[in-house]
Amino acid sequence: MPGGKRVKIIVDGREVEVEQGTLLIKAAEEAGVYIPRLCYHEGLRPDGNCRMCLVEVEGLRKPVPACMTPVRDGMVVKTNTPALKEHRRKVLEFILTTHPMDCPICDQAGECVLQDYYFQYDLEDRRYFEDRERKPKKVHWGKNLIYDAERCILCRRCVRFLDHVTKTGELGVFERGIQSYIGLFDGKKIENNYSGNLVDLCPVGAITDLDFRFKMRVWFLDRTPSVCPLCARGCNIEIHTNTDPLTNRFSSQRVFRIKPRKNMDVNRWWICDEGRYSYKFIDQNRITRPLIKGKEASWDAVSRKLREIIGREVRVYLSAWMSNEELIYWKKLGELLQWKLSLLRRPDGDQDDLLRVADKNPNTTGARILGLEEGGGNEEVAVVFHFPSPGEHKMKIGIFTNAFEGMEDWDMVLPAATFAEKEGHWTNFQGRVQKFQQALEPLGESLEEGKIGEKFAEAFGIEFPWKREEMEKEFLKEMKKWSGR
Amino acid sequence: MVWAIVKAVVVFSWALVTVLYITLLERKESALIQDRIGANRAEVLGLRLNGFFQPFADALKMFFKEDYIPPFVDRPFYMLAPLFALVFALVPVGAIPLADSVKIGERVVSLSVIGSNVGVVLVLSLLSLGIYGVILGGYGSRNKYGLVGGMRATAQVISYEVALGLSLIGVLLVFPSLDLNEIVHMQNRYILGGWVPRWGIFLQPLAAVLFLIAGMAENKRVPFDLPEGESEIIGYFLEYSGMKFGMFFVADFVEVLLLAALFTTFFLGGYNPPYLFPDGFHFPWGGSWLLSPVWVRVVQFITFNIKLWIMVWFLLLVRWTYPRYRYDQLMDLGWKNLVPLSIVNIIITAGIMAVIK
Amino acid sequence: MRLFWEAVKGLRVTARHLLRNLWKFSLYYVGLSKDKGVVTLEYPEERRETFPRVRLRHRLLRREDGRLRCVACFLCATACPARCIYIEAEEDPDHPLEKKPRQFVIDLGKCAYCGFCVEACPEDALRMDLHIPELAEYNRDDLLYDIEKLTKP
Ligand code: SF4
Ligand code: SF4
Ligand code: SF4
Ligand code: SF4
Ligand code: FES
Repeated sequence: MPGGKRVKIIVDGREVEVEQGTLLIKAAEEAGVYIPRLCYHEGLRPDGNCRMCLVEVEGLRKPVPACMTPVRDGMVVKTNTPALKEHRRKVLEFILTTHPMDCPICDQAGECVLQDYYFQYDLEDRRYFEDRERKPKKVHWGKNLIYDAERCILCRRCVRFLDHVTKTGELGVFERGIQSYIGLFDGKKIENNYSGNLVDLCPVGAITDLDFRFKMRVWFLDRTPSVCPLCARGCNIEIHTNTDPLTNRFSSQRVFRIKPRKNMDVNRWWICDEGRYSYKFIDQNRITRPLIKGKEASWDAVSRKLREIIGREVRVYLSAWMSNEELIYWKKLGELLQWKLSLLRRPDGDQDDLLRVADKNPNTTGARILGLEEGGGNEEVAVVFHFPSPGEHKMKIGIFTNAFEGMEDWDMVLPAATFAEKEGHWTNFQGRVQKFQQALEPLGESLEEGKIGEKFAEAFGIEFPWKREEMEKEFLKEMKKWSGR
Repeated sequence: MVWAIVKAVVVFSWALVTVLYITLLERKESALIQDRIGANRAEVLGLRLNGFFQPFADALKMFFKEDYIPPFVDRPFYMLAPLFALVFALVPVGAIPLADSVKIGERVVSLSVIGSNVGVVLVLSLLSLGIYGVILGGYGSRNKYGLVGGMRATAQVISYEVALGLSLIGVLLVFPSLDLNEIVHMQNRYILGGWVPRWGIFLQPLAAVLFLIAGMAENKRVPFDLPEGESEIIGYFLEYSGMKFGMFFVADFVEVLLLAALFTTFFLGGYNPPYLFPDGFHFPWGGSWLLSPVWVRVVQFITFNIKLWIMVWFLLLVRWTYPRYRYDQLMDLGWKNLVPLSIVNIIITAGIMAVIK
Repeated sequence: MRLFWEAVKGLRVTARHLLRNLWKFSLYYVGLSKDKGVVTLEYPEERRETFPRVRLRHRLLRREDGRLRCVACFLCATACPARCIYIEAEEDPDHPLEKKPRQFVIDLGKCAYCGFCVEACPEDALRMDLHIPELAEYNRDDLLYDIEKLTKP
């Protein structure tokens, strides 16, 4: 509600001014006070079932749940009194009476809210020694989700997500009391495009990801902020990698999972499953050495061979997967060498009204800003980025990240780094320029496209070094021109 | 000539075998002092004999170790040094009489390899030549630690040479001869009613102590092992390995043998056991046990060995008792204590001699 | 002079040790006494008794049903200061414990024998109670102990 009424409240002695109607738990966050929570998630409707977030409000006899209470002008709130702490201990103790303590085999361990609170509230020993309630474990919920009812703390975040965000409503709470569990409605499977978010939402390890299951302990992962390349929205993501030979000794996998990064203007808290599970191309089926006529060769051999195209007609098919910097670098290079330029894109696909857009390329907008258009010609030589090109050309030079069929017939195939192995910017469909950072070293002898461009420049005997920062500035100039049109 | 070669072979093999077993004694003695057992595993035909064959195993090992010559060394010096060290340690041993000389027809055959009548001078001069091995070793290694070790050795040996020589002068005043055999003879007289032999240690006790200390310093072993200083510089043989190192090592022990032998000769009556005369034993309480000359020589040789081993034992005991001197203490001891004391000893001895005459 | 007597005293100490040990050991050597007098243990034949809490070579334990106790939780690898425990986890489809190690390797060449891994293990799957101190190999790779070597000592 922009322009809504502002009210002042005091949380633990800190004064803060927020909009009227804000939930107390958020208002406190704005004041810099974190109120423990289990069931509240800012992307979901508050439910108030866990009672971790109870706070004391002056003038009220009983504590109130901060996640359900809107602020009132002049509220004085205390979040950390001994009574509240004792209360939270008890909430936790109740949960833990039935909790299986599977942490050694639970993928959530290390980023589990319950674990964190357990340590924070010092619940050393259990006092409840009755047999634990046995519930279904390892239930497949379809696609990549595995549900463990014993670990579930019944916060209903998953249910609310499916009800209110994806509006598919596959899940419900079944049974009552201590027997209750989350279950699929008859005949349903969770097959929507956002199911992966349930794993992130679940505060404990009740919903885990089949794809990530047992692959790596989360505390060994390095987290690099990046941007999802799989559609033009450019959801903000985190790439979780581990390249330490001591903790990741037996597998060649480097990227272990993709997690969403909160960005209220682009993807809010979510990402779609396509973005979440398509990371495998970063490690698998990669081209790691240059190929000349299907045979492995060195970059030196490539440089020698590139001299053959001097003076011939060249068309360069740039791709909408290249970063702004790379596009403008190649555009300038093409202008210097009088090449023809055109654009290749992944064909459009599905879209929905949550995140996914039809354009399945991360940087179509960037390419448009630079005036690149699809199309082709019949020039002698083609330099093709990322997608096997449609045109008829005598000599074909491809710059690809992953192996594909018919690769041997190409005159030259050069290995390119994936987005996780370089740094750059993409312009998403809203025209936001978003930065993705380097999470990994390029695999094998692959190079980022800018560096490959440098090789071309060298082979043609011109001085045009690849300087990413300069190209970034150049692009922003172009962008200004474009938006001011 | 033939005799000389035979004598040389016999005496030097005797010396080397003795040296081998000095190494064993050193290991065993140090072990027992430190409540250990010591080397006892070398096995021949299933026999261990508590380490009896250890010296041979050690020697064998030394032979077959890789003899690595670092590329940066000064080759001629580097090669010569261990040779010098060993030869100049061994040769003086040849001057020590192991038993009385024999008369074969007209000729008097001395039972040392070099039956010189200036044995004392010979021994002392050869002894001081031994330092060349050390210096060349340290210098030729082209290693600063080696060089430091060599320098230390030189300074030390030169200093103690003086004390060594001076302490002997007292002995030479009492036994006025430069022939070692003659000196031994002169110790085979008896004083105090014929009970006590006129050994150097009784006539010249101060000289004996000084000689022993100076000798140990010459020897460069603990507590005078600054040239080696294995906890700090490793010393002059730092760059040596294999048999070349072995030669330094053996030279070290030959010097122990030499010092013990010299001490025996100068101060312990040499090869003569008490009351043995050329024709057999004559005891002061009356009675005698006559022996043929050959048996006398045998008894003398055995006696010499026994005295030698006792001295070696004592030297090793000293070596395993004291910690290393500091360099200034070392020089203090040499120049400020040993040299003045030996001069005092000379003066007193000379005075007494003059009075007696 | 005082120094001289101190020096003699030193000799006396060493000589006393020497003679006493010589006497005792000689008696022992010819079989007349059981007391060696010296502290040496002749190792391959004689072994020192290890203390019950000593930490030596690791072993992996099994459950009653024969499955490894280890659930590949990586806590030992996380606790290890030498970072010498390498684990690969996998699904155990038939067992309620869901997870097991596909590979479990301890590089004893790097191990510091601190015992942190044993402390960290929540399943009591790892112990260092074998009392085997010998660990000499000609090849560094032979010091990589995998599940087989760790379970069958
Ligand atoms: S959900 Fe959390 S507390 Fe429960 S077993 Fe998993 S990691 Fe442990
Ligand atoms: S599965 Fe997870 S998100 Fe769903 S109710 Fe249980 S704990 Fe909450
Ligand atoms: S004993 Fe210590 S160093 Fe060795 S494996 Fe265990 S934790 Fe690592
Ligand atoms: S801590 Fe124990 S259960 Fe966990 S991986 Fe190590 S040995 Fe296995
Ligand atoms: S977070 Fe408020 S009741 Fe659960």
